Amino acid sequence: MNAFALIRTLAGIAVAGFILLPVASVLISAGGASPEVLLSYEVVAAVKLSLLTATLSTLLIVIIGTPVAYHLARSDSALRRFLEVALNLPMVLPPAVAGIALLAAFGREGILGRYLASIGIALPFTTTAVVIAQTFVALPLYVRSARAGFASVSRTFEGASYTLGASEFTTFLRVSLPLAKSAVLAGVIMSWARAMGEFGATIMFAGNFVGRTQTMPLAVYSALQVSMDKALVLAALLILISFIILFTFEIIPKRRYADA
Amino acid sequence: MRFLSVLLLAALTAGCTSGGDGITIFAAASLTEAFQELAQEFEAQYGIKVELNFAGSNTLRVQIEQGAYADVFASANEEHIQALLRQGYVDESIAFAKNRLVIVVPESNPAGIESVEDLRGDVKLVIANEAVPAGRYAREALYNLEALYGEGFAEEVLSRVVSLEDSVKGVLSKVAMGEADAGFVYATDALAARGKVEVIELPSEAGVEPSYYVGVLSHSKNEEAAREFINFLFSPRGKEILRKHGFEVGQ
Repeated sequence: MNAFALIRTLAGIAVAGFILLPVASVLISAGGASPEVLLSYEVVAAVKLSLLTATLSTLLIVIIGTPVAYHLARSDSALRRFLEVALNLPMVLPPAVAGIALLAAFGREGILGRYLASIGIALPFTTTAVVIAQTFVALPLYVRSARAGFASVSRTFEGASYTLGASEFTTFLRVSLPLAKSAVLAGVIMSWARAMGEFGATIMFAGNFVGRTQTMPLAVYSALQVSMDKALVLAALLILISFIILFTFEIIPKRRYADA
Repeated sequence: MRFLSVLLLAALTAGCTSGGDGITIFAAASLTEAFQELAQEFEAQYGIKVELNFAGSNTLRVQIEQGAYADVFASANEEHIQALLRQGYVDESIAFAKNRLVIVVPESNPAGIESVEDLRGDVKLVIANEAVPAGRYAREALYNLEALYGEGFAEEVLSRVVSLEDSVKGVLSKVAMGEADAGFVYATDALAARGKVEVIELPSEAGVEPSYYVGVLSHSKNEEAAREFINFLFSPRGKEILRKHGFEVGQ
């Protein structure tokens, strides 16, 4: 083995160990916790709420994100570039900043929130607020992936569809979407996973209440202040769910994107 | 390559400061403003560097139990320092100050709350979670008040809770931002946020007397300096600072 191959092997072992050790440690330590913890009210409520809210926000993301992703892939205006940068912002914002931003906009005294409050709608501390927080941070992941998928669809196919008399919408549904399918699906999975893991914006904007706004990450955080056992069990559950999601993502057949 | 390893080593050791010349203090969130000033003054007087870590006393306790390094622990109730005492993490538990539990409402008081009884109505109430001293005192107070307002009062008020915060400062900020209609905090927190929140006192029947306890950690590498700090808390200047921030201290 030459020196370079040795370095690669050692680095590979180091990286794998660095990621796997903490993850495995959680699973091993959680194995020692009593099984009743798994069925405790808080844990069950957190799992249910997380699955519900992450699914709702992913649905919302697909509904509002798909047209935007398609538009971004097809238009080439200056506005598009600006929109693209703005859309990516939530991905790099620190969680606390995302939380403050949501409060400043939708809080009871927020720019928009104060008008909502005047007609009796208060978003903070509600399950809706959880969905909003998750949508805010996960939307960019979906749009990025779907946009790349649509961009890789050759316009020749769409052109052919138009020539045969199909409308723009039919063409989108029957030609563009099926051809971009794997990228769109990848976006769905990534945004769902991101929504499941959302923490900072949720705890700031939606608060922390069992059954209403306490999702799994918040429950891990709250449990950590009381008992390590419960925190470990919840953390292990989250790791397992995330692993399954990422594994599904891996086995989706991939297309190569020429100009992603 | 050598440069890289030096850099890495430096980064690794930077994370493990303390023990040498300074002291690390873990203090209850409600002590934030007072301890910041105390630390500043102590540093100036004794030339000992102080690092502060504020969180709910329960969080600090778990951190210590999980092996976090600290020289001094200041808890907002007796329970958490006693637990550490039993397990041998601290050597003593010395009471050094008292506080008062109050209700705060946003300056604009959107729910029109005048007394603790109004918390029965349609309000968005925020309290600290049960493990946090401020959260425990709030529940205790509500149950004690059943003598005044009848059985079921506490449950009724607790059903208005929309968020359980991880420290008393979390409660304060939700109220100060106007997102919550009311919250249970200490008088000292209300003082720190004056202008943003209004205080509503609890009837004496609430019967809670929040007390603060301090102790030196058994594994402290700088016990002498840690003791100096605790002595400083009891010095005239130390008491003066605590009093200035609204704490009650002995003469």
